[in-house]
Amino acid sequence: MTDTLTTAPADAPGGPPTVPAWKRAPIAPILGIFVVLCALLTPFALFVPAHLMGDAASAHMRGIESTVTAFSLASVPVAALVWAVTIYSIIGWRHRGSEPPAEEAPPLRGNTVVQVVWLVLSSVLCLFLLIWGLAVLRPTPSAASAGQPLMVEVTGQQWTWSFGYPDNGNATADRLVLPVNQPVQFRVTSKDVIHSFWIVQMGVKVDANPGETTLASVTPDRIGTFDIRCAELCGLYHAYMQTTVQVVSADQFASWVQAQPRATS
Amino acid sequence: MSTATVTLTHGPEELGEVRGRQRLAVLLLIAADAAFVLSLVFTYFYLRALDTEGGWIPQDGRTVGPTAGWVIAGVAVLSAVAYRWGELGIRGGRRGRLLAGSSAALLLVLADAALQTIQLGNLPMPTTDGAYASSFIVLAGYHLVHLVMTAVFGIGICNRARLGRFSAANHSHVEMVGLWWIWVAVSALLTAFTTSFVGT
Amino acid sequence: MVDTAVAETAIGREPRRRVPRLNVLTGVVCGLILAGAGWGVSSWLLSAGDYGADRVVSITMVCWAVGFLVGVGALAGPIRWLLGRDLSVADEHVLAGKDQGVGRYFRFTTDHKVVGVQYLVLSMTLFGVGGLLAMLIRTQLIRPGARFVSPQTYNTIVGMHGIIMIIGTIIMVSGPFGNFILPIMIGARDMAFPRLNALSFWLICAAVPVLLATFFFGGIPTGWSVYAPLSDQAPAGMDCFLITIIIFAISSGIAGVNITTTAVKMRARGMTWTRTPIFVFGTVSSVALGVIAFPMFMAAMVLEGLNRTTGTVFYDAAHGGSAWLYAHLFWLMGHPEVYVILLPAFAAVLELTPVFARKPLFSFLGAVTGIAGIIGLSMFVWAHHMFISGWAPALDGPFMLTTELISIPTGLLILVLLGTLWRGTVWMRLPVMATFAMLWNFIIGGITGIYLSDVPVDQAMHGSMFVTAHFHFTLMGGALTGFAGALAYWFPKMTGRMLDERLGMIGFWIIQIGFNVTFLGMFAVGLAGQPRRVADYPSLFATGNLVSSIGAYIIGSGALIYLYAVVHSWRHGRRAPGNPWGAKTLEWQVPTPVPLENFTVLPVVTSDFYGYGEGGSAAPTPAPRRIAAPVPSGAAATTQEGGTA
Ligand SMILES: [Cu+2]
Ligand SMILES: [Cu+2]
Repeated sequence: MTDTLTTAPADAPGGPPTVPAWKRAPIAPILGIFVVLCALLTPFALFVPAHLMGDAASAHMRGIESTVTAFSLASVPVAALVWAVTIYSIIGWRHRGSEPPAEEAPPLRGNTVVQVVWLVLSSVLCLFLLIWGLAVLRPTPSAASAGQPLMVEVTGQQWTWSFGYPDNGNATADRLVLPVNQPVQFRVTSKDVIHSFWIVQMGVKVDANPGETTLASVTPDRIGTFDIRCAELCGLYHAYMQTTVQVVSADQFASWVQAQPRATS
Repeated sequence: MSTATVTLTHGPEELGEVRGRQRLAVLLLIAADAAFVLSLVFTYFYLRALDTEGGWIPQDGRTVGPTAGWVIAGVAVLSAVAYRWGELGIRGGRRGRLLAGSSAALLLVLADAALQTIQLGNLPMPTTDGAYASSFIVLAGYHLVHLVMTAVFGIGICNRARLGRFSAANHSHVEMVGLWWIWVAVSALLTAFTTSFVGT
Repeated sequence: MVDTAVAETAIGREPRRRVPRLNVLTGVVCGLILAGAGWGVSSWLLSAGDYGADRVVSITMVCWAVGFLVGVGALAGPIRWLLGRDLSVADEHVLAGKDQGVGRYFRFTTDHKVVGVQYLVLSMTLFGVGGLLAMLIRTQLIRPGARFVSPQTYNTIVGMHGIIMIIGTIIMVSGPFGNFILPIMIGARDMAFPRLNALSFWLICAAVPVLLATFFFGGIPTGWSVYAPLSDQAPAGMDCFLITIIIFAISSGIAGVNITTTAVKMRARGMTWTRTPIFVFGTVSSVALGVIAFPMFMAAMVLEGLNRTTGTVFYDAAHGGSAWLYAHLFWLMGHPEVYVILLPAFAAVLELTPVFARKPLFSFLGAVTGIAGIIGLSMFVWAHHMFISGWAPALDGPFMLTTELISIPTGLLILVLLGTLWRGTVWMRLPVMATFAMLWNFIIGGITGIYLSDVPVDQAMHGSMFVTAHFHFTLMGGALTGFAGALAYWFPKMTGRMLDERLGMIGFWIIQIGFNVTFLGMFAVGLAGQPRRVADYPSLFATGNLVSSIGAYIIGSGALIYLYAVVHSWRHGRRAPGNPWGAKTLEWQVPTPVPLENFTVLPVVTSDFYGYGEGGSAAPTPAPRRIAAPVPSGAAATTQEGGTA
């Protein structure tokens, strides 16, 4: 890229032996950097965040992962453009020395076309984000109304979770077991301070507030054991306020819930 | 790297300029105080609207009637009016009227503070039960804080009026304290208005 | 200190015993005495009952602060006003630190340049303490199961790291440069209210010991966000925290009023808003936003203090209160506060980039619009911190919209930076490194912010390390980087010496590399599901945390190098000429060290300060000491030479 520095059009002013870089339109090398950056960032955006987030255990979480991937892809050209200009300005427009350079750069005080295009593009991107977000947000409540959801009461308390199954004869348990492919609605509350009920692989998170009941719903669609963590600092053992959720077949769930003790109400 | 203040080497700055600065600064301070007062008003209405577990007013809790609040606000308004009367006096150079007006305003503020203290000292409800009691106390309590601050400013203005520090041409401090005085009256009205919504 | 001759002749010598010779030492003594008295009386009268301990601690801390301010002489002015015995002009000069040498930095000095230096030292001290705490955090998290400190201590360290850095970053630009540089930049002789200026600084000084006392009263288990009702359970350290925030809110309110008034009312003749440097816009909009935002934080803290000392129930759901109330008040301040931190630093970078690119600022109007847009929207986005709190799920969509809209004005500011660099002649000196680093970091911080603004993604990311990494990319990668650039840029004017470029460059880039290692690692564990503010974690997250910790130590060593460069250059650096960068703004047209009252004759402004390469290119180099380009007043009075020196 440095060869752009040495060749200059004829209209360059005489004087200093090295012709200032700005005399040559920098578009081509910047486009080159832009393409290279896009080529590097695109696979990163496609695979890395989704891979780090792990295998989803619900359609909702898959929606979140594809959102992250989509947003990452959408931001690749933005980041690549900004960084291409930045990198080129370091390489191509540099001036070293202890004295300030001569003021030979073109005194650009703005460019209406560039500004309008920039504003329109960022507005369009913003609109895209909004529509995408609302679209992914939508199915969350309707999933619960699709079938008769299984109600699960979740209670946070420094520093454990406890669970109740009001639909199953008020069974109570200190761990969470869910039937696969069955819509579940969590009714979350707390006995003391704010906790946050987070099933990592299902993308479920809602605060457990004292004195309030908050709702979250999800349909687990994979059998296995997944992580529940508290996501709101709740005091001394916040870090250890974690447990697991087991997603099992409907039959296994029925027999498990039968065996649980009943709440004395 | 040391400096002197502006006044000496360059003669006194224009009074009009200084007054403009002071005015903007006082208005900004009032804006900050308003943000605080509005936070308390928000607290009142938000807790009232949520009525968490029906706990806004506890089962056996009695409440404060709205009348006292409006009386207290009325006295605050009255004192602002008295102050304003004095302030208009000094505009025409009448020092006596400024002294009379600001003294009357100061006395009214002290009376209002006494009223507010009596109200807070004789609450019909337990102070530690129910969000209503808490929200009421903090609004009324902050009005008391306002009154104490105003009284301090009022003492200064009265004293300086007594010493003859103000004139028709130079009384920007009187104006600045006047702005604050009006805001205190407005916020007293806001407090009375807010606390007249009791039940849910 | 040779340049005091002008004042000398003008002032004459009056006895100055009228203002007692108070300083920070008398302040501490007086504060301790009053605190002792407060402690004695309150533990005699009030220590019984459930709220006794909290009452005693709160009263003691308030007494300390009041005593300190009295002892340092902060209340002399108001008391004399009340008595009608105003300060004489000679008193005012003593207050302004005339002829006091280094001693004036340790007393209630009203000179805006002294206050600026005081703020600079204070914010760097806070960064030192906060950074040390960050090292402790990363040491605890270097591998799973580590028991470097207990969970109790760990939680306190996390909260204290947070609040110290928040206070430090809020004051880091508008304190030092807003006070030292801004008045000169707009052609004023001092701030609008010099005594308020000093008061705002000494209030923070009164608050810092209270904050540190938190460690000795059981700490805070809540993080700096101090969510209720966890804060109701906290030990008496929480009372210290609350008092600190209340004092700090008062201080920043006063500072905000002062800086805003100065910039609005005291700009030089001819300096219309379109000719006002962009740094002034950034600083003023930030501090003015703070004037509205911090009282809400203060209200949240006052209510919590009442809960703890008098038994009110604002946040207690069992008695009709609500934890959501706290969250609202906190975030109504909390989101604007992000921009209070970011805007002055960003504006400083916008200010210095044209100087080093030797080009005008690209689209001044765009920059102003961007700042205004950010300020306007920032008041309407707070609930994005409460997407998963459940307070009103129906409002998630609207708040998602407002939050994503903020990316448009922010993008505009990025465009201004890029446009300014475009086809420039970029002089590769230390200050402009901040532009490059910021363009890198801030893009990452911005993009990850967009993920978090999306409600479904927030359901996965909220409360995780992803959030921690995101806001460090904006506040540290963006704002703190901007501060480093601003410091390098204005260092010659403030200290009279050049900042060592070689050491500075090394330190700066080591910090940047370590920073990216630390927080890219943190993004990884956040995506994988590690909650934030945890003292321990499953071994699943071991690699990412190890990377983060190593990165943190790299930051630490880079910061030490940068700090050494600053301290060493301050004492032994090369003497700086008046305008080493060939910049056009007014602060570079006055001699260094800045003389009495900055200007002997106030400048008259006839154009803006970004006219690089516009006709003036005939005589740009070397470092012009007498540039008349932006300020050719009728008389050539704008740029007096070294005055008396
Ligand atoms: Cu927790
Ligand atoms: Cu926010």
